Amino acid sequence: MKKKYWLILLVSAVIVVAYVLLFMTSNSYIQSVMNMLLYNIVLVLGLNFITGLTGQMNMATAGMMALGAYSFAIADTSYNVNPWLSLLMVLALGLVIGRALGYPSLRLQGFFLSLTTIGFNEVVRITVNNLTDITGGATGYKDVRRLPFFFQFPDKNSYFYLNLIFTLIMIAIAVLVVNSKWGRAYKSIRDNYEAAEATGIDIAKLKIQAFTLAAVYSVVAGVMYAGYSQYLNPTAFATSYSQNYVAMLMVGGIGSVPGNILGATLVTVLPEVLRAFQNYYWVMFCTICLLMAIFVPDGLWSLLQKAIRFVQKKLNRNKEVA
Amino acid sequence: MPAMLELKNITKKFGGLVAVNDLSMRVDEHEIHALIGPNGAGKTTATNMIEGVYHPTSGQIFFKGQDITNLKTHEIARLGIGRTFQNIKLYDTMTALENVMVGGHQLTKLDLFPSIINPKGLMEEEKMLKEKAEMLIEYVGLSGIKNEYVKNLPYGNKKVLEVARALMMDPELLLLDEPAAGLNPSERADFVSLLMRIHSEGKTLFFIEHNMDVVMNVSHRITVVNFGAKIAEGTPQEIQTNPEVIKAYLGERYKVK
Ligand SMILES: Nc1ncnc2c1ncn2[C@@H]1O[C@H](COP(=O)(O)OP(=O)(O)O)[C@@H](O)[C@H]1O
Ligand SMILES: [Mg+2]
Repeated sequence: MKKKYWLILLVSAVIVVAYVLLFMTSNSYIQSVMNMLLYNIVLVLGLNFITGLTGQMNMATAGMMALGAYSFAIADTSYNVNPWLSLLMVLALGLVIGRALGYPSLRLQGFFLSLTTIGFNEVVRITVNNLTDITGGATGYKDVRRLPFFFQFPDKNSYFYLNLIFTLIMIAIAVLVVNSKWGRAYKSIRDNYEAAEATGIDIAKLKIQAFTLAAVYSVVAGVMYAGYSQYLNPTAFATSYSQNYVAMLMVGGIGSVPGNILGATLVTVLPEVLRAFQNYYWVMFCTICLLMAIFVPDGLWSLLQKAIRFVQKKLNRNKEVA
Repeated sequence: MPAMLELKNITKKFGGLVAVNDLSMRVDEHEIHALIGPNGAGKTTATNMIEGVYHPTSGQIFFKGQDITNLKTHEIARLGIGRTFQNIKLYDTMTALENVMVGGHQLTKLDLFPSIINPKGLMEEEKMLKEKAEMLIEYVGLSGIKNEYVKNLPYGNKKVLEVARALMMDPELLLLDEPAAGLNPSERADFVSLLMRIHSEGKTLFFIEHNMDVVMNVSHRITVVNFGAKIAEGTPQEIQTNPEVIKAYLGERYKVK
């Protein structure tokens, strides 16, 4: 068992180092995609708690992210609050959003919850669009001040490392939550809420908790986004982006952290790769997503796990024969 | 001493349908109490009211003297009432062991935020849950399949697994809704011996069952309901010789015995 953990840690370290090396040797276009991938991973990890594990549809990811990004920019850049204090305020906001969406989820299910969260996302987008004095409206919010990194305001490239650190922290927390009593308790609500209640699980509390985790992850991604691009525009937080995050969750694998990372990576990188096909790119992307939903409904990670288990079995059998 | 469980004049109406009609009964500590009656008599509905899934239209329910009539399901469970379901309700995407571990969630102390900043404490709780769940899986005789996903398990194993999950929360009272239904004779014999073992460790059992061999052999007392109302209560001897019960439920076959 111990050996397995070391192996996982080693593989993760190799991936992180390779990622940094790739970033250092890439052009600025690839670098911006690589940065986008970081906050997409954080968003999908957050969505996984509520939609993946607890089974409550959330189409408000982009809206929650917008709230994080704009509040950070307004607090720190417009009002000159200390940047770390602004980050703390944004985290507190995440707690509030989690409750605001969590309570309706206690009464609404399925389609109705989807619609409510879509509504939330649109309300946020339209509000941001219309509060021109504070948010810059449709022309956008320019020159967001970055979080200081090692006591100075970093340039775009070194800000990437700060985002990488954020991402690693969020991954570590997700691993802890998903693979412990919390992950099981959330899943028990999704799998059979009557049985969960009968074993003493407070469903209302846990649903709100899972929504809150999703909200906190989304606002952190918002801060990551705001700092890197330094420019915010309401069109970047449309509901269609929220759908995209649900697609990432489904493509990679619902419920597991490696699956989430895989899904975020594929759905972030695939459109960029497919851009070479120009007019056909969007059609191809949608077709691939659709085929995956039909043939690999549990996500690619489940397929990989099956393959690993198959190889293990084969190896064990060979050992027995030998 | 208050009863382990007491129903006082419980009535449950679904629209115009009276599913349970003015039912009163008590289950004493360390008793094995059976609830029998024809299909649709209101047995499952009565269990669901004890567990707070439905609240009675009128009447009161007490657990060890405490009024639990209007508590929520998870609050009632935490007081020490475990249950199994007539139609199996397990967590299909989890392994057998994980299913049992969920039963222990409410025994743990760390809340979400403390467990994130104290991973070591969380890991200790995991270890506790795992050890306890493994012990219980062994106890009910499912060690061999503990790492199987529940959706792949045969029906008989699932029934037993539900019992292990309920035991995980250290209940004093176990409600079992048709535990032996659908089991073959050898599985049923194993199940009965499991129930007797659980009882011998001090638990109180309240179960709904249609198999009369099981009911008559293990119960201390039996309550019989028909159309939501109680028609008889007594020892297996008394129930088997009660003309009204024979007419409504048991049939003439049992009269000879
Ligand atoms: N949620 C419900 N809504 C409406 N009617 C119900 C509901 N649950 C049970 N009933 C009805 O109540 C009666 C008693 O059902 P039930 O308690 O399941 O009986 P039993 O377990 O004794 O077979 C049945 O007529 C059933 O159709
Ligand atoms: Mg029933």
